[in-house]
Amino acid sequence: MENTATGQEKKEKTGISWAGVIVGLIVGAGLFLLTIQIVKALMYSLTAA
Amino acid sequence: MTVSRRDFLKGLALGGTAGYLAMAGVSSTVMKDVFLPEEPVGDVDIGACKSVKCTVVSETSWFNNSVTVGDMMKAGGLLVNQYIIPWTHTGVKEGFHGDNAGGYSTLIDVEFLDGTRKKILLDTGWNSNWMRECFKREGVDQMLQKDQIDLLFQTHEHFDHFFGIEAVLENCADIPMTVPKGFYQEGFDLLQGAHFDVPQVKNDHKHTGELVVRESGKVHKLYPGVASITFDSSIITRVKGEQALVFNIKDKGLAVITGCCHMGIISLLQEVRHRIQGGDKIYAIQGGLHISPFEDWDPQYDDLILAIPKYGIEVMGCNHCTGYLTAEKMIKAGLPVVEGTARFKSRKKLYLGNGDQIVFG
Repeated sequence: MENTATGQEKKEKTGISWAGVIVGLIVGAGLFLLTIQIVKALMYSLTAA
Repeated sequence: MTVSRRDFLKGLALGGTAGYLAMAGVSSTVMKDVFLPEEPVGDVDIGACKSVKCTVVSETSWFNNSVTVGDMMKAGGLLVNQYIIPWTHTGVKEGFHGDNAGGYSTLIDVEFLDGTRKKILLDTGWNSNWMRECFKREGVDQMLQKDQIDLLFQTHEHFDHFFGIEAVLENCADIPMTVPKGFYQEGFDLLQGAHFDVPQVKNDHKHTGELVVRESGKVHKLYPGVASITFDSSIITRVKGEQALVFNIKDKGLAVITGCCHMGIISLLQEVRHRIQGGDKIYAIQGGLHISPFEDWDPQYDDLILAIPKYGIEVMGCNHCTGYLTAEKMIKAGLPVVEGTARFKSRKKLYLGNGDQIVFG
């Protein structure tokens, strides 16, 4: 009985971490910039060929 | 306060997705100039000239579109060697004495800053009989006989631009000539007097003048304010290479004169802009723009019509393989297409026709 009550209590506390969101925003924006740099490099190397 | 790994990862996923999409939005709108490379500006100085006068000797390459297309299709398709296509030379109602072949040729008169002039004949046409009549009409035969034409500028080897070479060489066999790299041996043979029975092309007057083959991908300075630019284009009927003329007209900008523009009008304008000093001001374009030569339409051509205005061209003296359909659409889009007079077998006034003149500068 004691173990079950502890389990329910832990489940209620789950959510989204704001720290994670902020880090995610920075990482996501960085990933997009990296993507377009790669696309740009490929595009111009194909044009040159 | 402690953060569980699961919560952090959920936040990271949500924030990552939002950040990726937000950056996509920001970089394509308010920050777009940061990410677009700066357009290179041409650095080849070709000098300047005072004015350029173009006389359309003949822009009617053939008189019946379906007969021309039919000839190519019957021979195996659009990529078949032009020297083994049995072109129709009889029985065409709209033709010149029944011959479907006409030709393309333009006379260019350049005035330099010191008042001197040079004449360039751009292309020789196709049907020698038709071209003889056109040359006579514009006085080109006399000019050739008196050595008043300084250069025969052959834009490319296509039948309708080159097979009429005999009509030029019979008047002036030693005219200096330039061709783009890509000319086939048959073309050089025709210059030296070859006969081709299948396409019914011949030349009984050997070319004895200087012949310069222009390298592709380069700007070649010809006279002060005059240059040619050569493209390594592969074209229908197994033709390779095409060159165009560029004039830098003082106080006006660049004028580009084409034969057929198989390299594509945007490619040509971009190359001029990127290679030649003053390329950011293309004042005029003249000649075949090769958009709807057979009067058919593809939705992608609409993009060309939309793209042309950004070059700021003030005068468009187009004709020939531009197509009447394209001219109609360009006029509708507000482009400065110069009207013709529809004489000497040019069918409509939509663009410059046979015998029409235009002056740049």
